[in-house]
Amino acid sequence: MFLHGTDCTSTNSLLANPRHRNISLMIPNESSQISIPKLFYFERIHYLRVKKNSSTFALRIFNYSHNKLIMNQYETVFIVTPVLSEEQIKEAVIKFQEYLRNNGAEIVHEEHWGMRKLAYPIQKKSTGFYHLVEYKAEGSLIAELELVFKRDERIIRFLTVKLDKHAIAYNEKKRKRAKEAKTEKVEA
Amino acid sequence: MAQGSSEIKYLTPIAVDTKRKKYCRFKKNRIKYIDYKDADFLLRFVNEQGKILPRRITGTSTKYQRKVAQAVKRARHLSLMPYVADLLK
Repeated sequence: MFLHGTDCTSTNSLLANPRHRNISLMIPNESSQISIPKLFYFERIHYLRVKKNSSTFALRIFNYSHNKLIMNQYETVFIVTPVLSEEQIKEAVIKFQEYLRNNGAEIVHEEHWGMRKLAYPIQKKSTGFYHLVEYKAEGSLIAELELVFKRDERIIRFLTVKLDKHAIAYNEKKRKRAKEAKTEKVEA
Repeated sequence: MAQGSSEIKYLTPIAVDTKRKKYCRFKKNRIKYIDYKDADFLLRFVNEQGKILPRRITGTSTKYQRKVAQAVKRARHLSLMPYVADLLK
């Protein structure tokens, strides 16, 4: 990110500060830097992937007037068709990871449950590959994500759940326990 | 006194319909969140047909019964639990 040498991770402070109105940004599709001289440009551009210290991260730029970003934590479980090969499944999973990252979501945790038997057949299939993603995102992203799920034929079922504070605590505890069990196994 | 000696005396009171008090397991164990991914746990709250058991049988409090129901329904959607079954368990 090129902000006159100033480090700015949040766009809020960036927009609030009039000193930072001349900004140049790297946009993934275009190799050259694009300088955005005036603030109103921000209202048109929604998603930007920003390069900083050789690591890329996504930034969502939004309206000056509503500069409060509310990130909720969500959890999505989706089932991929068993007819695909191992690599095709990976490809499908990566597609959604990329989608989330590119749209300003922050992936907290991921789990691949592997092939599981379904309790009842879905699309005449009795097994499926389960994948779980836990991430922080803005609420408006969820509808877009679900649309992508619906359009993808490889996904036979999906469920997105918003996590409340108890759910987050529960998941963290579960992860911690799993980690401890793993380390114990390694030691033994 | 003759009458009194013929009476049968028990060391411990006989169990005549001494119902054990039901309690909400979530309140007792301070469980705040019911995981819909844990199908084995949710199996305790459904009958053999896969129907959600009423509160009067499980003793769950209203607050947590709602959460149980929600979790069971989510598990069903993800095919972790059946919607209909014959011989579950």
